Amino acid sequence: MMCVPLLSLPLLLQVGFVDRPVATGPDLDGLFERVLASSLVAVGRVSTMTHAHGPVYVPKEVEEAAKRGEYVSIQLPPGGFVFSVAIERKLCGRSDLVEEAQALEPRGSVIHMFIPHDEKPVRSQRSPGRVNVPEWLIPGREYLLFLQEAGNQQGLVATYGLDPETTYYRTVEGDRGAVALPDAAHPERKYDFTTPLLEAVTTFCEAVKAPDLEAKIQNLRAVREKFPYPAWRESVDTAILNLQMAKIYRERRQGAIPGPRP
Amino acid sequence: MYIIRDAVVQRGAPQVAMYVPSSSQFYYNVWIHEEEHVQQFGPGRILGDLYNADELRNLLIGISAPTLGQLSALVTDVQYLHLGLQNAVLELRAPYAEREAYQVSDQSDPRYVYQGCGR
Repeated sequence: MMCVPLLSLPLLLQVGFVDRPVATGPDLDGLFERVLASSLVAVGRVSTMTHAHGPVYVPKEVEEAAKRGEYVSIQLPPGGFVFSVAIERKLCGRSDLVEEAQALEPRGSVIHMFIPHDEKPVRSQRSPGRVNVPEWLIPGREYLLFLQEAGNQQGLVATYGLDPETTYYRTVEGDRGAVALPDAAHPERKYDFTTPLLEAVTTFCEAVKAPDLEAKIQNLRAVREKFPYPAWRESVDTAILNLQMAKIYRERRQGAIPGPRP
Repeated sequence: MYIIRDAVVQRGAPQVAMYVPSSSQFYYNVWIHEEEHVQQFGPGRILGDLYNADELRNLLIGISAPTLGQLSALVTDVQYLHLGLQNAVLELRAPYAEREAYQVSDQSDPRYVYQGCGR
């Protein structure tokens, strides 16, 4: 039997506390853009959390040192956490806003998310001044999720030893895209505004799920005054404007209206 | 057969990242708030039992495997399992830790229009 003393195994401590200004209403800023960036906006419940990591590599000299009974250091390969989420309600997604968008919605009722453990907060590209923190999910809890396919799936598989047959998702804008919904054990707190957020997102999604552009625009106009939040009206107006432009482009393509003169 | 006989496991020093310009009138409030979170990881505090190096060390001692590669893989699995559980507990306790921290930082001037201590 060979005893391997371990030398200096740093405890991984990647703790994320992010304090943001106290909210005065639901987080509806840039809702149109966030839905546009989402393959799927859905309500889902986290069923499992497992970990995954890349291949463990032991250099030959380390092995030799261990055989001699010397202290060796085991290098931790890059890793992270895989969350399985049972999709309970599909609300909408990019394909409801862009006609040509491929339906990238996940086919099954369960999606998988992979979150590397050492990911750092990044400044938002959509919201100036905002810092996005990697999302974290708790098994058993229900979330409102803005989901997009994780970039470089092949790279993720190679680096973290993930299943090559599985499509992995991330949220749009980190923890902003994974909003824990209140339940009996976790009642809504004073400044959470999760219930009005879910109501507004659901309303927006129902409006844009209409089959044709004109109906989407009409639906959005009908719900524009439903909520008193400025960010809501701004998002609805942005959506209407974009859908109107899409309608004009489509009609122009079909020859219904002439294009601009050269 | 390889076995972990001893291990030096260290808890990293806390690092505070503040995305508030030092010219902000609320810089000091934010600093107090974040420092309170650092203190919360101290002994006896709300997060003091999390990411405990001794706990992880005890999980690792005695792990054995036929090869050093397999031993390394086991050690890696144990570390990620431990980390995942600690992260989950932290997430569950975070609202309470926030409440505590706001109760400290909200006492200092200037006051916000919306104070978070009631969260």
